[in-house]
Amino acid sequence: MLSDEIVPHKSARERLLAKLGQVPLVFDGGMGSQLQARGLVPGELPEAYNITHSDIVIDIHREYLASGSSCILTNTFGSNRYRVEESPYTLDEIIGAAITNGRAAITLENERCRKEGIEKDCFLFLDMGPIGQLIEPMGSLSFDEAYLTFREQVLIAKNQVDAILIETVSDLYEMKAAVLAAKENSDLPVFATMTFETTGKTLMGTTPATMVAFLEGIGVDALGVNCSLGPKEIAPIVEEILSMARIPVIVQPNAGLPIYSSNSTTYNVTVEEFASYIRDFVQSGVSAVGGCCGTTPAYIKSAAAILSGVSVKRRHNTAFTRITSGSKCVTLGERVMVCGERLNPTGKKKLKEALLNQHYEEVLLEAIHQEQAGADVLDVNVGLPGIDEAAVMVKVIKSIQEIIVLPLQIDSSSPDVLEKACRIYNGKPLINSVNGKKDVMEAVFPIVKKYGGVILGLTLDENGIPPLAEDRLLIAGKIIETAESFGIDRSDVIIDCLVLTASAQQKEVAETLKALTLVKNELGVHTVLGCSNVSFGLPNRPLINKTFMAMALYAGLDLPIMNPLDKDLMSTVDAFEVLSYKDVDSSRYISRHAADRTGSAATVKNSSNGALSGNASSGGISGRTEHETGRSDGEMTLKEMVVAGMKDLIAEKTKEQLLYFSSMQIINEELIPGLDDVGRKYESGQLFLPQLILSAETTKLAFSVLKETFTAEGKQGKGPILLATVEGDIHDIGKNIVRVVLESYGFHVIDLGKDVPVEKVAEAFLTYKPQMIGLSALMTTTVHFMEKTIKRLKECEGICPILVGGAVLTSDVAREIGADYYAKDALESAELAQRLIK
Amino acid sequence: VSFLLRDETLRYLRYADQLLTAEQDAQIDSAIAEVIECARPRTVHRVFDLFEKDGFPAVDAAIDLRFADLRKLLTDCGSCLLVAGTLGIEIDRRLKYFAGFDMTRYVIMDAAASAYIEEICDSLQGALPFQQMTFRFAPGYGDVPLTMQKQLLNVLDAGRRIGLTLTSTLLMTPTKSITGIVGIGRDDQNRNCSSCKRYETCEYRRNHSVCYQTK
Repeated sequence: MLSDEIVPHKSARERLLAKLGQVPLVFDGGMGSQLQARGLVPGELPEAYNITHSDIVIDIHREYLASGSSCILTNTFGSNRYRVEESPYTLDEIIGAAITNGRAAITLENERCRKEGIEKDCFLFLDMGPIGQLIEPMGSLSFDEAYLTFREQVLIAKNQVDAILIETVSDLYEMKAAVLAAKENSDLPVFATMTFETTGKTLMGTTPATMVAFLEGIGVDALGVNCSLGPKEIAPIVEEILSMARIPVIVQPNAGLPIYSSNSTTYNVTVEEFASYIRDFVQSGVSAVGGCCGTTPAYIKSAAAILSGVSVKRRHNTAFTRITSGSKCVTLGERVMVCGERLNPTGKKKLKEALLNQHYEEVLLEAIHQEQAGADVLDVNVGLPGIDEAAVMVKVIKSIQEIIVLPLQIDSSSPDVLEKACRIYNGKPLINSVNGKKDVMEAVFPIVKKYGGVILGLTLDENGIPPLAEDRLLIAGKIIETAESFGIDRSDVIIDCLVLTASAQQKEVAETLKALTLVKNELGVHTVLGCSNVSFGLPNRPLINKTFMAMALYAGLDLPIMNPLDKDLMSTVDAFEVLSYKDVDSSRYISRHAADRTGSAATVKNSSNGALSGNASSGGISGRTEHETGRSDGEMTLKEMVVAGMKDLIAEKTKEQLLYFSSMQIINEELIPGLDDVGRKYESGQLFLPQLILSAETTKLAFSVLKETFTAEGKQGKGPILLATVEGDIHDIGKNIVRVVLESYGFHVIDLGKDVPVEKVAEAFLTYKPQMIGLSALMTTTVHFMEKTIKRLKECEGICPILVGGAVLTSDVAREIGADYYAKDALESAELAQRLIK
Repeated sequence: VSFLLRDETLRYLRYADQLLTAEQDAQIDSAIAEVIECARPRTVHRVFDLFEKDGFPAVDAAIDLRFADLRKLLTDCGSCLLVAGTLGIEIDRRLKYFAGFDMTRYVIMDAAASAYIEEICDSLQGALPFQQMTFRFAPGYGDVPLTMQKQLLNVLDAGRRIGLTLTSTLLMTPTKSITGIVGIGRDDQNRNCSSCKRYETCEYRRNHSVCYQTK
């Protein structure tokens, strides 16, 4: 019920934002703990109390207001469709009742204040907590589903609340879904807080710097930290946030650390201690305070009292240029940051094919190698004729972010691709690029403004690349000014002064460097250069490249876009850091080059440094015959190498053997007999699983050498075989083992991954026309999806044999759900595949 | 790396005394060490007094314990421990990372992570001031449906406290996580495989072993 004295909400927004940052705003305390104190049983849905015990909810709100809170949260922390569907109520009913309760309490407080002659302005915030499911790729909820889940909460509440608080979030990606849902579907102020641990990170690994960079970029009204810990433990995190944030900060700690006894929970900070921490926070620059778990009205009362007459300290933080992933933040200027350029199909035949055929493993390997070589940021470009660039870009970004935490540079000339990529990107990306052309800037800057990001500006415009440094400086200035007119801070713009080739435009190489220094000094922004073009057309390109790199770094380059696998180039960067006194005490240099005795840096980690990675000295796995051990690799046959798992050496040996034998001879006389031998030894218990897999991986490497000759000899690999872990299932180790074993037998495997929707499997069958399909499921709850998948596949014309496997399956279950074959393990799958596919 | 964790890791890999070279030994240790380094183990637990309702055990929390196997487990127990633990999300990321180019390390790390989260919860239980406890029973065992995971995690507020959540198909994320119900007041480590869904096809059983750690 809205009473007459509530001023229309448009002005509530203005009133709230006018106070924010001026006077300390006091929020309420822990609703959940208060409900538990009044009878809520652990595990019960607290939001049901909005309907079943509205008197209690109103009373708790009223107590907090009377204690000095001016901002209260609706009792809707877990009011999302997934949690509410377990209750007898609808989302509308629960959120509606929560708002009615909040408004009723504010009406009571307004009456009290009027009677007592107190002037007070109260605000009702829609409270949104985490959904309680992890978003893909780490979980199975899609980003869009997460967005829609928050969106429906916002739509129910938006006309009846004054603002939105998104709180207790650990996953930056979920925060992004919630903020977008709030901002796209309402014009309410949005406050956002995350919960941190004593490690200084959230449960999902987000650092305070990452959170601040991301939330400021996407444009919330206040950001901060809640729940997590007590005020004492939270203090260093608050301090870190305050040292960076340029917008208002909100802090809502718990009442200390919890002490659990048999049937109750208490907290270890007293009311007085709590209040004194809160005062310190405000005096250090925090704009809004309140409490989380365990903070009763007494805590809030004490905090509100101590804040009377205390004003919010003004902060004047310098703007830094920060890009992030979901957990990692890279600050430009801290040292030279390296952007890996290799995820770009231009001039790379293998990557081109991988992208066109959707073999994302290849793409991921390219990302892994660059990360291992020490890249700080990875450029992602998938622009190819005949490709759905937006779809592939989204897919590639998601796949990389599943395994690598480096921030990414989204590289496309299409604003549509940039928009789609920025939407699903987890973090604050680097966006490549705009230039001085008016229409390009007008298309791209709104995307940067909306999602947050650092934009890379190229110093060219409608008239091309100006030859003179001064003219490039002018374009850079124009780009920065235009960005600012779109509400983008100049710290979120970095400038690329464009490298020209020394062979064609020798004179202009120096102009690029001159422009770079000018941009840096006159405009105060960071600089970026794609470096490798400089040597194009000249012999001994690496020499030109590394010399230019040293010159560019000296001229002030902050972010070279380069090949991190080029050891000389990476070493030039490392050495520059020492000589320019940025790598103080040379500690980074020493850690990266200590083992390097030759003088040329070699810190790139070998990708096959894993456990049990075979080499000559470790050849003798027990159970293998004596003569196989202790031999030098030169004497070993390919078959022996397969059995001993000589992963590091087999590729060379295979190439050598190809000089004397055909690939079919090698397969039939060496590799397959080797694998059969391994299989027998595994079955009889002479080898165990890691040894089996090592042999499979080893053989797979031999096959990849042979595959190159297949095309020459006009043959194809056997298969393909389609593999998928069914919808709803995220456990894919079994399927992965089957994949490597099948590949070791030379089968071409198309791996659709885990949690693959029924329709996707059917589509893939039609696209790839496999000769066999393997499905895996781990749990009873997901076998049901396996059955659905099989049923759908059997509707397809010309369906191939379907093989199933996985923890809960038996031969009987497999038959029941309509599969054609059951395999108890990877070897059985391989035997079957050999029988079925000739 | 403790002997126990190493032994348990190898047991998950169905290791049966195949001889390993010193180098392989070291490489297994290195994979286990990486799991320990990468893991952010967290646990949450609560103890509830047990009472009887309609012939079944019950606690003052929104969790339904009316199952024959729980009645059996909690016989003669005055209270029960609800527990959940996870190694965190980073280990999932790391496993996926190695799956792309070093499957051997991946399977060892996967087994080590499974063993490690069990060890984490064991040591948590070991530090509790209870002399006698039953083995750790988990939803999905015997006649207890997996749907109980929802209630168990809600009661423990595991999502908020340790970041342990369920997918819509009731699988735990992060994946290297466990939950359990433990009876307090009676020493019972005798698990029974016969009601297990994998009884007929169990590879451990085929090798005269069991899938859980024996004291």
